Amino acid sequence: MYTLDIDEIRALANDATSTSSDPNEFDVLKKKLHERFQVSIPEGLKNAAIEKFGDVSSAPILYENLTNSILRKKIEGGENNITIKNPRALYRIGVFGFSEPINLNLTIEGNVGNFFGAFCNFNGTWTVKGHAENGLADKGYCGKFVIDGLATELVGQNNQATNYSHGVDILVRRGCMERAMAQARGGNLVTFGAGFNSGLYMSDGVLMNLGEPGELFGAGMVGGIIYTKQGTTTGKGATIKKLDEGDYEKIKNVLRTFERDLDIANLDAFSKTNSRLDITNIKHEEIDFKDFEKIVADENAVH
Amino acid sequence: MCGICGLMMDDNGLRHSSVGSILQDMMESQQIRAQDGAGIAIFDKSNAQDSFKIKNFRKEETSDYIINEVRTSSENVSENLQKMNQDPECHFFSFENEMTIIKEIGLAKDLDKKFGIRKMNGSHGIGHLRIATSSRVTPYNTHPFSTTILPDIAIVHNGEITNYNLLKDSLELEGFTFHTDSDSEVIAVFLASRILKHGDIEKAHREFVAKADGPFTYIAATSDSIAIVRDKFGTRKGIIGYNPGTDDHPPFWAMATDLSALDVVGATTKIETPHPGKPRIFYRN
Repeated sequence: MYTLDIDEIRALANDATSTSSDPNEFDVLKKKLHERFQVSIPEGLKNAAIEKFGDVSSAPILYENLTNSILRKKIEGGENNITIKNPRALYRIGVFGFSEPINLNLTIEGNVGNFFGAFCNFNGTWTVKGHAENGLADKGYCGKFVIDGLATELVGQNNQATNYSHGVDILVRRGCMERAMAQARGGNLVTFGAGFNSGLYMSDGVLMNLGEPGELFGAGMVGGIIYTKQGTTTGKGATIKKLDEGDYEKIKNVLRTFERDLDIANLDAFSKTNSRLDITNIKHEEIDFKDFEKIVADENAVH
Repeated sequence: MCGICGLMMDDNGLRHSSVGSILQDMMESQQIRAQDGAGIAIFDKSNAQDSFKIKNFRKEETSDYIINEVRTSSENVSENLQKMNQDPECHFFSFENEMTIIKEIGLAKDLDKKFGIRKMNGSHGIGHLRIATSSRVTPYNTHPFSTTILPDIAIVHNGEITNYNLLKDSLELEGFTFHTDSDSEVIAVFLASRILKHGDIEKAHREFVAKADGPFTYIAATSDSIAIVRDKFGTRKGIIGYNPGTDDHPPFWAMATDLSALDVVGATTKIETPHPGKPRIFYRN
């Protein structure tokens, strides 16, 4: 178990760089960071930070870069259980370029910024004890995300299913905003509310909205399934259908991934004739899937 | 990827709140989005006078800009504006009564250092972080934009108005003047032209959404309102939240591009996204 407190990096940077456009101070910072975390900062980052943010120590790109470098170092060293404290909505955390899936449980104690976990390819669970901004798990290949708060636009965008990956599974407890699972090619999103145009251009995967009915779901979709409460409206190219036996099996499989997270008591018995589930998300609720419908590609639509 | 923000105090008549400090926090939290320019507009009823301020930028030989301010009575507004328009070295900055606009190239923290944004009080305000896309990095292309048509209108914008030239041409044919190369200015001029025409701010926003193409979210403030408006497809982000107040400050509505900007000022109750194409307006009590 490893804990990275981003405020510790911040304190080091502030100590080392009082007027940090001075190149010598940058060298001091580099040395201190190497001593403490065994990572180095690229020279180009110094120039970009000074050009864009006036100095190194206040540049968010410094903390993004260092956080990902430190995580990478730890993962390469065999660490598979990491907590990040004080993330302060940094963008692009968890964006790695590992060629094979990594094993990592990652807990973020706070908010994450845009593109958290983009291109992710991991086994384990990444939990955000806060909110997530745009592009959560964008172009992700595999892994499981649990977001305790809200997620803004484009959750699971371009969710990838390939010959080598099944796509990313995502739970958003307080709901997500527009265009969730836009252009998804696989994976599953379970969310308690989804904004306009969710499921836009989906070609595979499942979007399960357990919150209020949505608007303009599934515009331009050519594949995949959206499960949502009756009353949801569709965009062009999508049509609403009733659930059949196979849908209940599919819903059960999707929820199986989050069975513990949602404390689902009676999932094994779930079926078309036993369509109620006791779910505890932020509060306990009974959800009857008889009130749900599915949105799929309209076979008569011209794409 | 500009960052915008705004807030309206919800304080039942207590009109002198720390708007500047809250806006500054929201801007600094979104600084990662854009670094080319920063600006604010703050409305404070106690500034209101019978006369108006016309501010302009003047380019100096040192390539710095200085801001000139002319105070004018309502009778002499046209004459003073005409003088400014005739001077090629002058660029319109703002037309103010109770509103104060401050904007400059650079970062939000530097704007505060130079102008003391955190000390500014009022009832509502808007803020902007600019990344230059369709026009140059100059002080007069930074946001907020106001107009020479009516005082105390300011807008901040994230996105593109792709039919900007058509809208601009049509407004110029109606006799309205533009002062920058920025597509964002057309929002301010359009709204002012419609307020002049029918006096209905909500209708003005709806008319703009109906006519404007492109992905955009803007926040517009007048002396008694603040509105967040998204394009009809909702292709640019905008989020609203409410801070129920503490002993230190009254309750307020806040809006921003990033959710983290609402979180940093504790405006995380009643979170909503404005419906695409439908203006969400908050009025001063």
